[in-house]
Amino acid sequence: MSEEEIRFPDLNYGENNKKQYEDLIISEWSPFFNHTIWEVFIFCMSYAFAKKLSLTGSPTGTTKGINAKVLSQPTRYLMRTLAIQHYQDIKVIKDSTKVAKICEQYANAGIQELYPRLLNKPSEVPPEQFFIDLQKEIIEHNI
Amino acid sequence: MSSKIKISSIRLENYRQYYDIQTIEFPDRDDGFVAIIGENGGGKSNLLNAINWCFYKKEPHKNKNQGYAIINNKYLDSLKNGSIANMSVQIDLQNGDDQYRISRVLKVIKNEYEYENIGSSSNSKLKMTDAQGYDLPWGCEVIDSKSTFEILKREKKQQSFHPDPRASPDVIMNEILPQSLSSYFILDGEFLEKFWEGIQKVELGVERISQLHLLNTTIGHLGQLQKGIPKIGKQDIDKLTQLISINEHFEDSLDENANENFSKRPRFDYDPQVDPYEFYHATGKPLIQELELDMKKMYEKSQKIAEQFGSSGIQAAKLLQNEFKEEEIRYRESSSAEKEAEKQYFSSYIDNLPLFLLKPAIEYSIKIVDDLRAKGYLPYEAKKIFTNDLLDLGKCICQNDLQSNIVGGQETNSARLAVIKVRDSMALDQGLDGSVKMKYHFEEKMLGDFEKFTTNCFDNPRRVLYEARNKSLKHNKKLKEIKTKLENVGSADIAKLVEEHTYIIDLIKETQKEIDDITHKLKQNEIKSKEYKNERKNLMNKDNKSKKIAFQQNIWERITEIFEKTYSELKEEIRKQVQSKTMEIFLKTMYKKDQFKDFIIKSDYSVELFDNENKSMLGSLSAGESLFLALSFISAIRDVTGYKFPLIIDTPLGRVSGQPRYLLSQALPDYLPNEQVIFLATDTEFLDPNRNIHENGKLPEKPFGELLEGSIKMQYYLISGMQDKIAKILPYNPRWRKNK
Repeated sequence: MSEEEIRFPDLNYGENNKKQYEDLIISEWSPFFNHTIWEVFIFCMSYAFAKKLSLTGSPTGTTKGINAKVLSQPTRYLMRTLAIQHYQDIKVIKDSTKVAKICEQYANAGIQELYPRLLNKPSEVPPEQFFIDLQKEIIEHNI
Repeated sequence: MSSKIKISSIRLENYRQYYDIQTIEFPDRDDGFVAIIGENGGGKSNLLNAINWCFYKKEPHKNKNQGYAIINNKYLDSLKNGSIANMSVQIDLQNGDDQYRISRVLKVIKNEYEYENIGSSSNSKLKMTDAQGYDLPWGCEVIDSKSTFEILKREKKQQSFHPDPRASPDVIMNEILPQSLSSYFILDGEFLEKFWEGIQKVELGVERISQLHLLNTTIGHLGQLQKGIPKIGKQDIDKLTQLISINEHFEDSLDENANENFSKRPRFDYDPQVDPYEFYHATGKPLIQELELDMKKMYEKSQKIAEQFGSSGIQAAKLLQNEFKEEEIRYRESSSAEKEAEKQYFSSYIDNLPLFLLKPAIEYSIKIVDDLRAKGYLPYEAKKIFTNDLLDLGKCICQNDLQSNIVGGQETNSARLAVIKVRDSMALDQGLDGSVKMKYHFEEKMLGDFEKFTTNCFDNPRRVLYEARNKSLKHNKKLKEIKTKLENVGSADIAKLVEEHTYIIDLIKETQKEIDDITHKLKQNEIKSKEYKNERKNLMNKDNKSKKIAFQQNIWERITEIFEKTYSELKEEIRKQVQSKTMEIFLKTMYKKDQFKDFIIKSDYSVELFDNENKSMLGSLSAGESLFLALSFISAIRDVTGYKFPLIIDTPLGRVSGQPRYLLSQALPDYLPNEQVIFLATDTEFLDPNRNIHENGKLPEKPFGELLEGSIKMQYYLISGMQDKIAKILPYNPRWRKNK
C-alpha cells in the first residue's frame, strides 16, 4: 500500500445531512435500507456528477463520519476519477485530501436533491422503480 | 485440535446387542475404506451410539436401539442376582504420532427382574427402567462410583499407554475431537438429509473446523472489556455511559440490574422440552431469536391445519388437501426467493450504478492515463528501474560515462549527477502509478464490455426480481382461490380450520413485522450509541481523572478493530475456498453437471445453488443430489482446513440409486484420498448389483462395493448373529472376490 493510500482521509458527509443519511439507511421505504452511510455517500456523489448539479460548497461540520478504512480500492478509484474530471488534471490524485474534499462537495449537492426525491416518492411506487427511473433520466439527460 | 485423526480399533464389551467382546481393527489411512455391513436393525446405529457413548457419554440414536438394554441381555441373564455386570466401549485413536486409548466402563448391580403382563396372564414382558439415563431391566442399579471414563496416551517411542496428567479425560477428549463437531465426523442419514436446512451446519463447519470461532469469542470478550467503563463522577460523562448502557440492555434484553428481562407474553406453542423459557424476552436480539424460532413453528402449524382439511371427512376437502399443501409450500418458497432477489437487486444497483453514473469521468481519466503511458511517463516505477540500471552500469545509452567519481565524499561526475537529478525529480510522479491499476480495474469491470456490465449488474437482477415477484403473486393468488373453494365446501369444521389457518398466516406476518421493527430499533440504537461513545471519548480525553480509562478504552478499541479485520478477512478467504472446492467436488459426482452453475456460501452462512438461468435449485434437489452436495461440502472443509478426522457414514446410499450411485463410487476415492472413511451400510446398499442398473444400460452393473474396489482398497466387516438377537462383528469377503 502506498503512503497516499495510508493517508486517505476520513470523509465528512455533513452535520447538515446527518439525519437524511441515517434516515436512508434505516427506513424501509428507502432503497438504501440496510445499507451503509458510505454507500449512500458514493451514490449521492455520483448522482450529483451525472446530473451536473451545481456545487453549493462543502458539507457543514468537521465530523469525519466515514472512516477511510471502509472505502475499498475500487471505491477510491471512483472518487479519483471524479476529481480528475473535475480539475481536468490527473495530478490531483496525488493529494487525497483534495480528492476527498471535492467528493464531499458533490455528495453534499447529491443528497440535497436525492433525499427529498426519495422521501416524496408516492408510496404505491415500489422502491426498486427509483433506480430504473434514475438510470433512464441520466441517459436522457446526457443525450 | 490436531489435524490427522484415525480410529485404530473399536472394542465393544456387552454393549446393547453386541455380546461378549467384539473388536474391529481398522486399516491405515492410506489402506482404503472400510464397510461394516449389517441388515436393518442389526446394530449399525448402535455402533454409532457406542462411539458417541464412549467419547461423550451420549447416544444420539437411542430411539433405534429396539428394546436392547444398555448392557447385553444375554450376558445379564447369565449373571446371578446381586452380581456386578460390566459393560465397556474402548476406542483406540491415532492422533498424529500419539496413540490414545479411550475407554468408558459402566458397572451395574443385577437384581431380580420384574415382568409385566401383556394381554392374557400367560404372556409377560420384562419390565424396563431408566436408571440414571440408561435403559436397564427393572431392579438393576448403576454403580456410579465404579463406572469410569479414562483416556490413556502412548507417545511415539513409548511401549505402553499411560494416563495423561495434563487435564481431565473430558477436556482431553474435547481437544482431540470436540463434541460440537461430532455430527461432522459421524454422519448419519438424517444429518445429511437435512444438511441444507438452516445455516447452523454450514456455520459450524466453517467456523469450528477452521477454528475461526476462537477469534470470534475473543472479539466478544474484547467487547465486554469495552463495555466495562465505571462511573467517573462527572455528570456529563456518566450520563453518556448510562445512555450507552440502556441501549446495550435493550439489545441483550437485560433489566437495570443486568438480569435477563422477560415480557409477560407467552411463547407461541410453548414446549418445555425445546423452549428454555415460557415467556418471550422483553427486547433485542434474544427476542428476535425467539420470534424467528416461533415463526418456524407457525409455518409448521399452518401446514398441519392444511393436512387436517383432508381428515375432516368431506370428500371435496380431501381433494383440495394436497393442492393446498403443495401450493402453500410453493408460495413460501417463492416468497423467500422474492425477498432474496430484492436484496440482490438493491445491492447490485447500489454497487454498480455509481460506475454507470461516473462513466464519462472514468473514460476521461483513462484517456489521460493512456496518453501518459504512450509518452512513457507512466509508470514511474519503470523509469526509476531504468535510470537506476544506467547508474549501476556506469554508462548511458548515449555512451556517456556515468561511473561514480567521489572526491572528498562528493560525487564529481557531472553526467552521473544529471541522471540522479532526473531520477529524483521523477519521484514526484510516483503517486500517479496507481492510476495504471485504476485503468485496468475499470477496463475489466466495465469498459471492456459495457453491454455485459449493464446486463449483469442491472438487467439480470431486475429480470430475476420481476420473475420472482410474479411467481410469488401467482402462488399467493392460487392459495387464496383454494381457500375460498374450501370455505365454499360448506362445512362448519372446514370453515373453522380455514379461519384458524388465516389467523396463523396473519400471525406470521405480524411476527415478521415485529422482527423488522426490533431490527430497525437496534440499528437506530447502534447509530446513537456510536455517537454517545465518540462524545464520551472526547470528554474523557479532556478530563484528567478519566484520561487513563479513555486511553485503555482506546487500546481495546484498536485491538478489537484488528481482530475484527483479521476475522472478517479469514472468514471471507475460507468461505470462498470452501465454496469453490465444494462446487468442484460436487460437479465430479453429478451426472447432469451442465445444469449447475454456481454454489454460493454467503457471509451469513446461508447457501445457494444456482442453475444456468440463475434460478435457485437448492430446494428442488433430489435426495441423492442433496446428499452429494453435503458430502462435497464436508470434503471441501476437510481439504481447505487440513483438519482430517475419521468419517463414519451411516446408510449413505439409502436414497440413491442408478447413475448417481455409480458416479459416487467413482468420485469418492478421488475426493477423499488417504482419508479414513467407514461406511455403515445394508447389504442391498453395498453388495447388491441390482441397485446399479442404469437407464441407458451402458454403465457397469456391479455392486457399489465392487465399483469402489475399482479405484480403492476395501475392507469389510459383517454384523451377524441377529437370528439369536446377539450381534457379532466378523471380517468379511464379498462374493465378487471369489475369482480374484
